[in-house]
Amino acid sequence: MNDVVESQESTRRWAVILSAISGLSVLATFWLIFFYVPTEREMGIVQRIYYVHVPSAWVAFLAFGIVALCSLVYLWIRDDRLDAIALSSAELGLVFTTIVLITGPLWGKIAWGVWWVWDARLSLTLLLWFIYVGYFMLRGATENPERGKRFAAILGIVGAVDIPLIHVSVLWFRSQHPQPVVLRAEGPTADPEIVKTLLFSFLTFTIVFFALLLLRYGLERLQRRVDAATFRAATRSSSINSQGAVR
Amino acid sequence: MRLLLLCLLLVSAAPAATRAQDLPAAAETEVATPLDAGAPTSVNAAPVQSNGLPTAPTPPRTMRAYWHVFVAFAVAWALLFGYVVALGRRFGSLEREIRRLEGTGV
Repeated sequence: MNDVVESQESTRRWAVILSAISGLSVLATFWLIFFYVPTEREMGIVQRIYYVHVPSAWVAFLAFGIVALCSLVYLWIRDDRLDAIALSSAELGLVFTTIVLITGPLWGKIAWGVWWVWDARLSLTLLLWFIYVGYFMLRGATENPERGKRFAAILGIVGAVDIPLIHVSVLWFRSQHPQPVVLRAEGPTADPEIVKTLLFSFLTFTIVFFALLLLRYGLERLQRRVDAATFRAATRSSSINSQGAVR
Repeated sequence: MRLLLLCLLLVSAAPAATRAQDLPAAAETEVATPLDAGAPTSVNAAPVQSNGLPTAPTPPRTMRAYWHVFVAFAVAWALLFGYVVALGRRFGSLEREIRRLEGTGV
């Protein structure tokens, strides 16, 4: 039990350190976005939404990638900590996908004149969001928690197949969505200052993600400790009751 | 005298001529579409339409664009901040619960 408590303390310590770093990084990112980077010539001020939208999408993909990886290994070795990491990462992935789905239409309304179009990338991103909403519903829908974890792990792996599809959808299909501007074989097409700011935003969002993941993982471990203690308390009280009934 | 007047006329007309030369370039910048991009500050906006969806013919420089930027940033950071607050509250309640259970000798 002491090992568990120590491990939780260590997780919390790292979460605090990463949170402090991410706070500073967020401030630096804001400075870059609002004071350093020039306004883009075609889209104007609304292009600055990219610095939240694109890194959020990256972090969401990273989160769901972690879900798939941990779920795969969980199905193999059945280590409960992997399930806790997958669950925490899925929750964060859902938060960041929500940000993507809110900021995207805010940009689209100005740039395209419409909030939403049913093109491949947008539709697949919405599908990804629904898949991971289903991940949480599936966990809670089974009587046996272990079975729920297994089913959710399978859905976590299957859902991650959507990530590469989202990435290549703008290349494979006629799409309203802008093409990649940084991760291109021919090199970035954007202004160096725009690329620098975008890359720094990627770094900031990644640090924020790992800080939140550690916090959420610590919470999940604590939740499982409470569940185990509650179960022990219930078992003990029922055994005392049954002994009393026998006497 | 005529020569002097002609010179004065040319000098006074020079800034206007310069502006006139600049204007087409500015106009090109205003209506630049992603297809003629390749320009260094372009980040590739919406492609040309074939399915009846609206295009973005001019760069949006309205208050509405500023409002959308504000809402996007506010919603994104409010969501993250709200999530951190929710985590903190859940931590607090779980810690109280574990102390209560430890108090009962479990």
